[in-house]
Amino acid sequence: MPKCDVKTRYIPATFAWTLLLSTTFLFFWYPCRQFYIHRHPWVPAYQAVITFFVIANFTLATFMDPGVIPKAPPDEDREDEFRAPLYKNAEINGITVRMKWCVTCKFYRPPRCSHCSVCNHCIETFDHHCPWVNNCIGRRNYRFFFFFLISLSVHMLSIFSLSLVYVLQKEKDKLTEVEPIVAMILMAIVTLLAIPIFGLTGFHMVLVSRGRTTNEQVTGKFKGGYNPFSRGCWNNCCYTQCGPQYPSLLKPQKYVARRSNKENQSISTITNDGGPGGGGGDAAGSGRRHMPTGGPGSQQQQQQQQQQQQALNQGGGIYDNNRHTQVKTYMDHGNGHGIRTVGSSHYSKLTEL
Amino acid sequence: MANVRMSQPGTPATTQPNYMKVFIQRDYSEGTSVKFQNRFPPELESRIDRHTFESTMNKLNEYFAEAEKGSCSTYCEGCLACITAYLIYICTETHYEKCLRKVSKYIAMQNERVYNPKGLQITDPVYRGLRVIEISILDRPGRT
Repeated sequence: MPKCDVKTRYIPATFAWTLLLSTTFLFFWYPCRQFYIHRHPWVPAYQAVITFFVIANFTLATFMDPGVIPKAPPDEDREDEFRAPLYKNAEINGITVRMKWCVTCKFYRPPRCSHCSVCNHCIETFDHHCPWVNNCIGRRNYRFFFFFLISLSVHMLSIFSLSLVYVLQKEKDKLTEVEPIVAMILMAIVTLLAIPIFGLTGFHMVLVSRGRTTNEQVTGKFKGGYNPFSRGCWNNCCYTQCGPQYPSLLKPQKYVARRSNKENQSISTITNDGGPGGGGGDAAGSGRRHMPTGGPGSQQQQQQQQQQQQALNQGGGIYDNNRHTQVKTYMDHGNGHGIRTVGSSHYSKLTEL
Repeated sequence: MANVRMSQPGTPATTQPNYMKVFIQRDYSEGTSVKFQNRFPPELESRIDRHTFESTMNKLNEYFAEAEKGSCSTYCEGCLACITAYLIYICTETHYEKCLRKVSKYIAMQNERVYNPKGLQITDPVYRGLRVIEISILDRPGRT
């Protein structure tokens, strides 16, 4: 990516942060400090609370992982990508939804998922890429973005009205002082930004109640039709705001159940002498045979067996490179095109995300 | 050294034997909630009985359904997070993350007790972005 592209990405977000922080600061420094803090001390307190929420939600909307779906590792179904159909159908609550093959991420995009070219990832329940936060808005951070819009609207309204009250109560001959002029500038800024911000807030309120994403609304996916993802207006609102926070999938290691060393030793495998019918699997069986009963104090030649044992013990997806794998995808009749078989491939490095 | 390498996916390792894999795809019939198909793949017919497989899948789907459910506790969690400027997310795990740990523990237990003795290994779907459940057939060499 050329250097100038990276720099232009940050301009809208920098501008938004600067504008927000400077107008808030000016409000606190001029009208609040001169007038409100003496007469009505609840005003700065109340405004501080709103500012706190605005900044917290803005921060999370900006920096939180929006719901990135990690790219498929090389040992997943990939060989057929040149012959695979571009679309796969899935039936959801009676409506047939198309899932498109993502060329970059190498999987069929789940419903409501879309690939963002700016972030270069598929995003779960993709809403849109917001340049003002320089981040995608997806399943994980949609609620923070929505709360940011609402709190920002309240923030703007209160700054406008408090500045107006301040200007109106000022004597006419003192209107050319710094404080009233700043207050009037703040009112002008808020007036300018009112239409886009309130418009966007209202738009998202409608989207939340309908259970749609910006992407679906703009592309007219469910125009005049039934939205299979909607749970009803009330449930849509509840789920968006009060539903469970979806976890980040970028570092799956942190969700692995912690196992003690003791458990590692307790695998009961039926050990044969590495024959094909050795029920416990050759890897575990032969590992058991050679390994001492202590902890994983490996000797050089036991490394390989131990690696396999470790893989089995942890039960996690520990992928080793240079491993030949044959992959086969199982698909249901209604949701796919039958079984695709793939030849084995030699892969050199997994994509680290 | 070997243990360290094993715990970091993507790092180079020694040559491994071929494994054949079966992928269980997501079931989207009820929406975008995480749920996996519990139809029995024919490749596993000789290795494990249908009932065992289905009960494993059903149990996993149960865990995910519990994770995806919006309830009073998730609402309180959200409110508390909002009040603390979301700093609470640094300290505690969310409801969904706790459920993912349960899933991981269940899969490890199933592997240990049921699947590994039959030469199978289930991979936690969290390593595949919650898109597929991968079942490796350990003593079946893949095609070269």
